[in-house]
Amino acid sequence: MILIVTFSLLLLFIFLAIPVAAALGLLGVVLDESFSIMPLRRAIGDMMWENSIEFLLVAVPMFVMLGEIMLRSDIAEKMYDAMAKWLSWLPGGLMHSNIGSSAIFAATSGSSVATAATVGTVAVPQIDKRGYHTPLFLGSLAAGGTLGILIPPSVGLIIYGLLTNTSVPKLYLAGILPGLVLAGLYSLTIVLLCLANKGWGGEKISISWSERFASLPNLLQPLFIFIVVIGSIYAGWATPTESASLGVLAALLLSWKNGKLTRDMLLKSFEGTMRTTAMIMLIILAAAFLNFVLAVIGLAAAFQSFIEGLGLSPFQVLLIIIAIYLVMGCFMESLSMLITTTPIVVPVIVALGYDPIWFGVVLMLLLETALITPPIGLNLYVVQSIRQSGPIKDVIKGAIPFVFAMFVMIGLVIAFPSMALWLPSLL
Amino acid sequence: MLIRTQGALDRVSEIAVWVAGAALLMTAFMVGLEVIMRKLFNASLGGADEISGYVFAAATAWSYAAVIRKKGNVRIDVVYNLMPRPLRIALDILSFLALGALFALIGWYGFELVKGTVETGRISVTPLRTSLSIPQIVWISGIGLALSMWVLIALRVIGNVLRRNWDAVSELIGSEGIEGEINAELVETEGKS
Amino acid sequence: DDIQPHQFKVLGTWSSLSQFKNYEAPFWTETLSANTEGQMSGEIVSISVMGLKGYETLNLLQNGVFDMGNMVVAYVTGSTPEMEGIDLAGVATDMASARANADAYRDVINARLAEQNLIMLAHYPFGRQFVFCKDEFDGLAGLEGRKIRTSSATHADFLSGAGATNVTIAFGEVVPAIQNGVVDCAVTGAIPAYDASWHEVINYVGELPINMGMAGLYANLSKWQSIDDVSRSALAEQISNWEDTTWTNYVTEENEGLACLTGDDAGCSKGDAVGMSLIPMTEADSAQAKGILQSHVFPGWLERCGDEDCAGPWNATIGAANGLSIQ
Ligand code: NA
Ligand code: NA
Repeated sequence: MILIVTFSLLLLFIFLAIPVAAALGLLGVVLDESFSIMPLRRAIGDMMWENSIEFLLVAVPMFVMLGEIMLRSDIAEKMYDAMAKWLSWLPGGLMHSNIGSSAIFAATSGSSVATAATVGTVAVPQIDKRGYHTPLFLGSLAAGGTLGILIPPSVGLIIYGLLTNTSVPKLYLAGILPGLVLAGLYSLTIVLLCLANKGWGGEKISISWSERFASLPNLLQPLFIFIVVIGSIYAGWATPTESASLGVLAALLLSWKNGKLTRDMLLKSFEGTMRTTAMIMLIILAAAFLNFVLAVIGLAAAFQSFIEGLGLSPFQVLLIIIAIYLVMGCFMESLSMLITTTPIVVPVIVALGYDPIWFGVVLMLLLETALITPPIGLNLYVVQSIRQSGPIKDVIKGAIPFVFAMFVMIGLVIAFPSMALWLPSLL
Repeated sequence: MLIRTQGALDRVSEIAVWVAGAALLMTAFMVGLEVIMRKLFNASLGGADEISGYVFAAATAWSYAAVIRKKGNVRIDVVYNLMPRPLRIALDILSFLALGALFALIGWYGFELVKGTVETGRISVTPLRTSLSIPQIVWISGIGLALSMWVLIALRVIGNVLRRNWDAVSELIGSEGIEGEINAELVETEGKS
Repeated sequence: DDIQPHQFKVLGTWSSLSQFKNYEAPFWTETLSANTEGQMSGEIVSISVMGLKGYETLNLLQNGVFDMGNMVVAYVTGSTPEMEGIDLAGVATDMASARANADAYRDVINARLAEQNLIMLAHYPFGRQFVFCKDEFDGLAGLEGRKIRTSSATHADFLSGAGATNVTIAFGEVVPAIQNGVVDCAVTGAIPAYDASWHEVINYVGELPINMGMAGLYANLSKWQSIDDVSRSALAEQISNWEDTTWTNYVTEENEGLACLTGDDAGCSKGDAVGMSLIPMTEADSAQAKGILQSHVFPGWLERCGDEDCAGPWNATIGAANGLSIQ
């Protein structure tokens, strides 16, 4: 009953084009009024404050700022250019550069939203220049961006590690291989679609091998940031949360070295950072309140007893949990979904005999899916906001093929757990 | 009059965003310093993570006004785009009211929290023992700026609805996706009439 | 007269911890109802599931969002620093004296909580807080110069008194932080340390506890007083019984936790025992702890108390029982 009311009201609010944050928050208030004898909205003050000062979430604006600085210091553009030289001979041209750049940027930034925003800003102007199929191009940006939480560093893995007491350095190692394979699957998706649909791939670009090799130094600066962010953790200088701030400092240093560090550039970076941060945080805060209401009125407990009552085999339970995440992922913001479901789901999964490090990777893949499934998908919104004109329908449509690539990836990680567990086993 | 107030408030929220970003960058330097001190001098600033959290909260709160002004809040316009213009404007108004309700809730209950903090002199329970009234007042003031921005835009929307200046209404609270670039002059004319 | 039907909304601590699973939740969902012929029961939700931090607990009770709430005392002292007095670092070293201290001090806390429309109905242990280090240390004196992860103000006071550097990082970041040398040591209870597999990177645990890690069950005072007399006294009796069993059972469970950590297979029913070395508490440690109490712990606490008179009531209760006095 509560479930039906929740979903139908949320859908109604969303389709009325009510801002997502307001829809989530007001839904929480409606559910509180209808189903709770306690005045739950009185918790809003405490919840907003405690979530607003959460140090784990500070990593989010740091990674966004890192991207903003890279954008305005030529680092992102050069990285995109190098990837274009190496990858755009494939059917689908620059869309592979979108994926490649996302994978490389993901290695410096722990946020999917920041990854989509950064690569998207560089890439979007290319759509009309080269006549790509607009939806697929936008979809590749939204999907490529999701790599941000799978390839280390990762805000998602940091939060998962803290909630489940699993080692973040191990989780980081576990994410690398699946991250690279997923990037490969995205590219494969683009190739297949462009071979099947003439004209989707834009005009052909031809590049000589000498140009390709000449572009390689463009990747040194992102590599430097990667070494600072990831190296500082494994060298015992910083915790994973702290390393996000070190990444910002590294990017700042590079922008100074590139002669791009000006007052104007900083102010523009601040504007971009705060605009994205405020937009995301308002959604996260509203979602946190909604989740609180749902937990208190008993939805979480109902879920746990439902799963336990099914009496299924471990594998069947796993599949059901994945199916539930996929459906939930359409309607929920991914970070708050991570925060509220992990304490409920992971104990169940571990009790069934699955490895928590491995499930961390599966969960990241599910969250990545949630980021690009409509109606609530932050990466869809981010790509749309970079574009600033045209309907969001384009982005949604273009992301769908990549959702299927994600399904394949989830299947692979389940069939071959060693994809995730081999690297951490070396630590 | 409203236009002039808008200009002033826009300036305030623009500067707020700059200060917010700069403050976040400062916390990155603080964390960097903490890391270096810990590794090289076996010392700790003590509470760099906690201070980062307060700065983060304040920076975000002071940026909400700019997001409201720039219509930066995410709206799903899939169905919206299929509707005729009058209906779209009705939805814009509904959406703007919903956004106001959200900020009013945060503002109201946030204010209650801060009031309690000030009255009981609440401190953080961490080794840093921050007097919480300071960061919380900065935080709730940012929410206050967002609410002021909302009220001002609401007044301008009411004025334009009464004058049936629908383009100006769309410019103020419409969805970015479909309206595209509406000439800003359309809005500026309202002040002269 | 008969017990009237009552249903309570209760806030519980972390769902992954033994305290929630074995003590808090069973009381509200099973014990209470069984002992009141099904008339009274509670619906308890863990802060982990609600996405709360724990610091909000007393506010939420005041605002009437919950009727009752369980929380570690150190998390809820923000408005009432007097509460810290129940469990100052370096005062008690065993569970029996910890409980006697808490019993003696409860009225002091309740006098202050009443001003905020709150009441503490029970106190129970969350586990003695030990120092865990990667490298061997020579008692309390051996902690000088080490970087130690601490989370509460009184721990920080005590460890700075021992010459250590306090570092604040999240609980979940401890294992990698110790492994990589971001910090040298960390403070927590025996069971959380065992459950979080700290033995993978930590080899030594000091027997000297920093403090007792006390928790409390609190209620909204008006709500509590609004319960009819018969039901309220029945509930109070149930809660008091629960307090007794929790203390008794947790002491056993915690000793087992320490056995599991220090390689005592026979004493460990929680799983495989792991091989940390126990660094025994010595006379020198106790003497140094008493010194730190006067030089760092008391002054630090009094500073947080500000204008409130924390020393007087503490001296009259816990101080008198332990032969201590805050000047
Ligand atoms: Na990443
Ligand atoms: Na989604």
